Amino acid sequence: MNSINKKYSKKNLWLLFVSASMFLNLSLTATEVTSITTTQSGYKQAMKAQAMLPQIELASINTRQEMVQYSRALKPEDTPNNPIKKPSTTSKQYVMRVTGADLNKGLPIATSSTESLVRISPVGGGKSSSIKVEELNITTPDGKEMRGLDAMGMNANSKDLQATPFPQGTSIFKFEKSLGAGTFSIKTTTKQANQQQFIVSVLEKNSPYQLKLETDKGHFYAGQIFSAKVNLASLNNNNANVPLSSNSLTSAGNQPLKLNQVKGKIVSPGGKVFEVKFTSVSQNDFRITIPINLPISANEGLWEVQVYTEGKHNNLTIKRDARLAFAYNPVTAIVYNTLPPKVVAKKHIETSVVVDVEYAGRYEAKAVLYSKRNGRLLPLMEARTAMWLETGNNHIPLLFKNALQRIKSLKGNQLILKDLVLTDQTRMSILPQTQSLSTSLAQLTSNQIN
Amino acid sequence: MKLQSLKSSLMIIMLSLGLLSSSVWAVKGIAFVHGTGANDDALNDYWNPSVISKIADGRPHTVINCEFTEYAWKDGAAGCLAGQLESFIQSKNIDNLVILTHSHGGNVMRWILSNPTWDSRYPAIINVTTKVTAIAASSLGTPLANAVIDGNVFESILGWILGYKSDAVRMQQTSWMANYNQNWLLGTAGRPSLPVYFQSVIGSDVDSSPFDGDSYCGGYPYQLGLEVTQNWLDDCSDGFLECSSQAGAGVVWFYDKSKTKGREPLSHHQSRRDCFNLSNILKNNI
Repeated sequence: MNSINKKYSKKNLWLLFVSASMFLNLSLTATEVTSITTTQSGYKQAMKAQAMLPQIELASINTRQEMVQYSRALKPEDTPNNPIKKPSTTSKQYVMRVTGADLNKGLPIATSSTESLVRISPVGGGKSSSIKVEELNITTPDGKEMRGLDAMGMNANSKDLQATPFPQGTSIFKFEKSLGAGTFSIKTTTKQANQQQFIVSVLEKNSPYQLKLETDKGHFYAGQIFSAKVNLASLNNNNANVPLSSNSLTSAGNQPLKLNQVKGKIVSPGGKVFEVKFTSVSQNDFRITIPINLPISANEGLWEVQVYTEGKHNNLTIKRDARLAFAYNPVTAIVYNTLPPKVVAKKHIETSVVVDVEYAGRYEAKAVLYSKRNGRLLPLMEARTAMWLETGNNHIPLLFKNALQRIKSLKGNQLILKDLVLTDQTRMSILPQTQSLSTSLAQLTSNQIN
Repeated sequence: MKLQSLKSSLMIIMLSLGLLSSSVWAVKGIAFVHGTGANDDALNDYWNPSVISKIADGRPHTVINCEFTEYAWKDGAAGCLAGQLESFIQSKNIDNLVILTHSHGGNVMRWILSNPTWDSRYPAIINVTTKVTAIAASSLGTPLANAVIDGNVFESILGWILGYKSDAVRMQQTSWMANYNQNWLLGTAGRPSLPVYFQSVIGSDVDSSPFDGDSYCGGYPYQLGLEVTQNWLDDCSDGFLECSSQAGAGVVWFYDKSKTKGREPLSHHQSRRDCFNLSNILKNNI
């Protein structure tokens, strides 16, 4: 237990590196290996860069000591874990953090569609700093100053929003449909304290312009290459459903859609912000590819990559933000070997996963027992065991309870243990390689077992 | 020949008695699991005593009170839920547990079902659970949680739907739930199935017309608020969750209008109230 927060040392790193090499050898000699070339290089990079990290404190999320075993029968139609899709998110909205001074003098709101939805929330909440919709004046994209309520469609004040999750003092409105799209300005008629901060968010559901943010993976290890890309697209190429204000129409040319600016951040679960630079790779695409070697956070939760973008199409300014979560962990243990399965008490099948542990913690190993006939794999059972492991080599027993009963009718079928996953429950981390690795850990026929 | 026939008859009688006795002694219990928020009296503050007694219909039941303001895996959330389920199972000798969850309660329950080795109490709970009915579950998260966190003002939120603290809200952001579904939770598309039958009830719209009596079931101000929050969601939503999120884990049992009285939609608030015959629908499925 006291070694949860153990610091990295040269000796430990050397052990990790040796372990990594052994693991790779094991993987390469196994009978069924997928995607090993990409994971191999990623893992080596992770190991190398992990050595460069500053001393770190690790999370201690689950420190239960007892061994817990669980197994269950699977149905033939049960899906194993599908290959991980690239995580992505799309956005038709942006957020600004502004001050009372900004709202006193008039805050520009760029819109690229009709009926954009605006939310104004005072930071810190509270009635005293709330701005009611009737206390706003709105200047339209055509330069016409209007009483706020006349320029709004749907609108609601804080008292109407008590049953919503938004902060106290929030007001919400949509721009009136006939005013079209373009840059509006909103100004308070009641003077706000200059320093009071507000969150102003703009959601453009009707807009054809959508930002997409995508990362290569959902889980990165310290030192791996972190890669993300941003794309701004028009879902409607001829832009027919964006009725521009008359002012925007006169000056609108036929300029192509262009993503001009992308500001990027990586934010830790504890809220620490790291600025990152996205570079343009084409008119509408930006990308980042960097080694990720940020200090590991002891806070629970996920990391985020955040982008704040601005684009142009004809005379329209298109602002979009997006946030995408990912996990980021050090490598705390790896699978070193697996022992041949054996029959226990004439009814169970047991195997053992040998794990090289760098950081003491609670680890879970799980695997699926398949039967193979005519080249087709059918899942039979899943077994899992979690237990506390100290630093060094450890065995995790995997017990497929009453497995013999299930495989009696499968004489002659090949039995395969696959889909081995090692999880660090103390740091909440799926450990590398095993997550998507399709390795035949042991092959035996049901005849051999019987 | 006669002896053989007598033996067979005796065997049939013994088997029937065995079956009869096992069904007589099987004890079915119901657990009600609330959504996001800290509850010490969920019976009155989250559900409603008449809803609970109608659905339970005299059967042993428990109403869970936990800190679902925390991340699902925390001791105050899944740990607390496991503790209360274990006590209920043991004190009432339950061997057939039916669980009804609302909103984020479905995710906390799914944490237990997906991570049986996390805690030594989990396997026994999984083994006696025969069915989970997840009412308006936030299985894929909600854009509303994204909106609430945007701009980093979540520390000041006071909202009944999402609760008072931030971690459960953070977890229900769409890209966070995608990550947890991919790595830690079972039962969504492309992932291994859950070890227990998990069925969802889906609320598809919010009625808030002041001239429609149905808008008042559960409280009119809630309907008004949820009508506004629908602006952040797609066309099929209960005002807090999109239908796709509610249908994101397990199997869909029904969309509200297909079974409710008068084909009325269930808003996120109404799906934990006795609106449009929902209590009877749930009771008859226990």
